Amino acid sequence: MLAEAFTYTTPRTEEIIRLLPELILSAAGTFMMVLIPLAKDRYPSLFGNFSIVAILSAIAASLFAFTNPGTAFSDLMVVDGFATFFRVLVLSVGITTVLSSYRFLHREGTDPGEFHALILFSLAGQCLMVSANSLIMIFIGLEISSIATYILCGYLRDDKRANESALKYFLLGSFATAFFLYGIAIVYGATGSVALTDIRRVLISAASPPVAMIGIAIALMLVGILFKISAAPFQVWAPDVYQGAPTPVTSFMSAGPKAAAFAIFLRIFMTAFQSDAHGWAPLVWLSALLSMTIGNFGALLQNNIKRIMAYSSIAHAGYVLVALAACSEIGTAAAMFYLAAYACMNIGMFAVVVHLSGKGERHLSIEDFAGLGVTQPVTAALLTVLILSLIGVPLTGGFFGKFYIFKAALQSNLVWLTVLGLLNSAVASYYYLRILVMMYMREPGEVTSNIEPLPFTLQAALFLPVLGTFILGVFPGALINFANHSAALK
Amino acid sequence: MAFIFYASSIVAVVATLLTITRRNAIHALLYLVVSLLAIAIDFYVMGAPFVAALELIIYAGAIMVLFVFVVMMLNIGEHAAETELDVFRPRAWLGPGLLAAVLLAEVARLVSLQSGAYTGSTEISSKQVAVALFGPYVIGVELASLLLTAGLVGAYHLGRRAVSREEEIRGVDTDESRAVSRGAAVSAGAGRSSHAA
Amino acid sequence: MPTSAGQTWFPVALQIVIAMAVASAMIGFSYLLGKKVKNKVKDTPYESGVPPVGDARHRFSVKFYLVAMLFILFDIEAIFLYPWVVVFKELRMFAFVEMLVFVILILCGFFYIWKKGVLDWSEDRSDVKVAPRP
Repeated sequence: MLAEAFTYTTPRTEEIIRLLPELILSAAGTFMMVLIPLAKDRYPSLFGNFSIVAILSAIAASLFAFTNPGTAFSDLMVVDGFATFFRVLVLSVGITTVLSSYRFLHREGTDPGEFHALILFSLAGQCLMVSANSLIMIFIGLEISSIATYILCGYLRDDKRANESALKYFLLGSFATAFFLYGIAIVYGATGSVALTDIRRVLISAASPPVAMIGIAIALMLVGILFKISAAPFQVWAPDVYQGAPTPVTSFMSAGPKAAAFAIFLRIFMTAFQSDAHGWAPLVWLSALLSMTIGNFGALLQNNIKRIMAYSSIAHAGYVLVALAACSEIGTAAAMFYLAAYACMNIGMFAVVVHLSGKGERHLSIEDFAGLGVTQPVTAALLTVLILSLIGVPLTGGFFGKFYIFKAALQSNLVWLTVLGLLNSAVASYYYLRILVMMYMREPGEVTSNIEPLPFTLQAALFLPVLGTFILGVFPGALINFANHSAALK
Repeated sequence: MAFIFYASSIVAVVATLLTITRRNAIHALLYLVVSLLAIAIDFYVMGAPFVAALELIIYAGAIMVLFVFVVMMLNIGEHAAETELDVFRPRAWLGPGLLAAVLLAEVARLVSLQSGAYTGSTEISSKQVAVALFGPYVIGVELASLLLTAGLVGAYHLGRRAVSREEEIRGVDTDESRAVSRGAAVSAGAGRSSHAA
Repeated sequence: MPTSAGQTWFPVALQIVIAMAVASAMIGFSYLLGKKVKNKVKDTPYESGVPPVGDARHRFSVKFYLVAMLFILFDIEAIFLYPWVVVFKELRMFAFVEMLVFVILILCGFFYIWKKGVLDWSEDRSDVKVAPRP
């Protein structure tokens, strides 16, 4: 028995290439740790520039790996269109996060080195999550990504809000991860495998599939994943954590780890548990409705821009869950498109918040936007595009995102969910429009009249997402075609 | 030996219940150690001696140290004296002692059995674990070290004691608030241990 | 394969004898060769660096906790060495390279905390400026 188990092989070249993005990010992160004590405080921009180079090479590596798709490392990983899509998405989120953190870290007087090293580790974890083909790898990726994000939340050690944020996120997050892990253990017990394809095969072909066990496992894993995507009823942490975390980290959390968590949601539930869709789809349906409603109505009551964005993030998770409740390939494609559009609008929003909030993040009230249209017309105009996209106005990425999602929902006969979702979007426009009203119809306040123009890095962090929103809104065809092609998960 | 499995499972469940219902941190810790030992015996009986050993080394050994350190850091105030006296009273150690005695009897039984101690059909030797770890799952092992490295950065960044540049800059306008928060932290800690006593 | 009780227990007995010999050699030689100083501090019983008499309930520095956390991280990394040793003979070069990468990653982490001064126990560090307290 032992003898046959020794059929190990040294990794082949194509296997290494398929893992290259993760390798680049880990190597860069580790190298940066060595660099931190050596460089000391002499080159403040060094770490940021270095991470941008590392992330750009990881994007290139992801695209290169896609030229020869397939599995790697005894089927633990798979490089397909789906993995490549999400890899490029989370890495792009990473780049804009780094761009919006240059000025922030300098302003708050904190160390740039560890911040960027943690961003790189977190990205490595997320890339691993989206290309993993086994529950074990998904779990390792999730842990790497989560641990780095917990620390980033409390990065400003002397800020009580950041401490509260990190502690809440860490305690609840590790609890949710434990649920997820328990689910994995039960799946392994029931099917004898952690490989997604094997689990699927067992569940489809077994004479008497272990229905009860798999039901419990699905419930436990849903708890873990719904927490990570901040969907109701596991959304309570989001407003506090988003509010207390440093703004670039909030921006990162709401786009990167969230997209990666949706990716594992899609991959696990559309492959391994697809045959049990009649069991879990109603739960997703309910969670989608709750998330949209709680998110949108919660946001109506808020006055702090980061809390508004947190509730908005819950609501948007709800919209994506509508696509998941459809349990179809076009639903998967719609979710992919929406996550890309959502990442664009969110990151751009937060880039402005980083600038406006000022040292110590004191100006976070919605009133602080008053008169931005007068003092900073270009910034306000770009922000308007993003807000319109969040509402879902035509010619923006947000519009097509919602359009594809509700189309997929209607094709799966989810009429009620579609109607409720559309009503929700109408409610949502109120609190988004409040920001617009503040910017254009109020006299400039203390904050906006003394505001400096955006530094170059923040300009880039705002302009690139706006460009993305425009492209997705005017030429959605290319991306949705790619998503449709890669949505067939095996 | 199904009997030993169920016996130590019951010990684990009872000890864990007692862990989460104790109001005194030290009492809870004693029960937690017993619970971890019982789980180690469960692993052993199910044919996973390697995992049983890891359970002892990592959880009952290393992780418990962290818990003790937390108690050391927070154990302040006069009422802590009463708490400490409490540790030497029989009701503090009798419960964990009894549960541990049950476990000891089980271990003695297992040792006397020599072979056939497993409920499962096979024993998974540490060699088989190693073959899986360094064969198909080798990439997972490497990534685990990345996970630990990320933890290292975090442990240092959040736990370091030296005053940083960040604190200097923020200190200008938050010193007062920090003084307030420190006072609050001390009284919160004191309140907690009085609660425990 | 050991055939009798004597053969089975011989290595254990040898281990005990060697352990005792090493321990007594260390204490004995340092007693014979070392300089003898007698003063109040020297004669205080050793109590892990804490004064043996006095209030036991003072707050311990967070440094202890930090070191304990680092210990656990390295402990878990060391755990991977146990199974590695068991299969090293079979996997040979592959296992060697594998563990080399693993250890290099750990060493990078070790280098980081070392240079950052986590292991430096003394209070006065020249490279860290302490903000004046009002």
